[in-house]
Amino acid sequence: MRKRTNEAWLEALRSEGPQESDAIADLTELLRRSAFFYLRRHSADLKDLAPEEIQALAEDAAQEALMAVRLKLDTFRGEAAFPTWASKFGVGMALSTLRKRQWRDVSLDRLPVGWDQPSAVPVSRDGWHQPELAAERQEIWLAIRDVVENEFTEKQRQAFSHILVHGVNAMVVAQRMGMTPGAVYKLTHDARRKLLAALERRGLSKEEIMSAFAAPG
Amino acid sequence: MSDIDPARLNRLLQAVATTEAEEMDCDSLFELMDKAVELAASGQDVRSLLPRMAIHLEHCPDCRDQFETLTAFWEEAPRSRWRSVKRIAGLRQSFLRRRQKPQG
Repeated sequence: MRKRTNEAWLEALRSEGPQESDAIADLTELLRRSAFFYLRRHSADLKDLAPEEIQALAEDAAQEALMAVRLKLDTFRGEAAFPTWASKFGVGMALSTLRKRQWRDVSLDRLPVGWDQPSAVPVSRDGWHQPELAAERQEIWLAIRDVVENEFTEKQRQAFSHILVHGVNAMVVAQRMGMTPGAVYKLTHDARRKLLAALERRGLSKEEIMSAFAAPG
Repeated sequence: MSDIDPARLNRLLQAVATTEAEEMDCDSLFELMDKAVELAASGQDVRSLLPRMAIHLEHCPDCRDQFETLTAFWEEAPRSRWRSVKRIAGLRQSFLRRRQKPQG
């Protein structure tokens, strides 16, 4: 890949002819490398694919990333080198590709949201046999249920349940809910803030919440 | 709510307990990511320099994954194996082409 200044990259990508096609070839190579690097780091999640299939996934991610880079070219602010800025699109597309594959067989509709069911708390792990500790944990858990059932919006309840309770990937939840990952992050942040405020109103500090569920000494 | 795995419950409570009033979202972090990656790849403590980014990375596994991958990519860039992969693929193609050429 030819070394260029940020200005040279922008000029080449905005030009026409050989200068543009050289820049696009170099950019595509960079995006392919960064996408492949990501997939290789997560090769344990792609064990069912042959090496050439993984390269094909990287190639597809690189082509999508190339479109994104060209679309967003005017947002490049020069705070980093252009290749660094562009490579985040390569890795981002590869990440998105991997998540879709990992979660393709999971239906969110079949995951219980479950806040209307009687609560059960785990009884088989450290500390639950200690009455005072168990009572404190129960209090915290019931407080959480109360907030989720009575103070969350429907979207907050869904996002909170899927991501923080059932451990579904946030990008996948965002896609299924028809939202951006950033919007879903804001939903879960708002949900967490409501919970923390409710627990603090009940006289529980952050430290007390964490120590109640730490393994007893 | 039916049975919840204790480890997941702990992670949920950790997430609640480490919540800040103002947190960066994924789009804002993406804007910042290239600058942060260059700082990290040059050995600087990004989590101290960009504490709001550090908080987001605690709460967002995908952004954390992307940031860590990009940092590793640029730390390794001069020694990238991609060149080796392409070179091996190229050698294999030359070998196969030579084998297919008529003898004599």
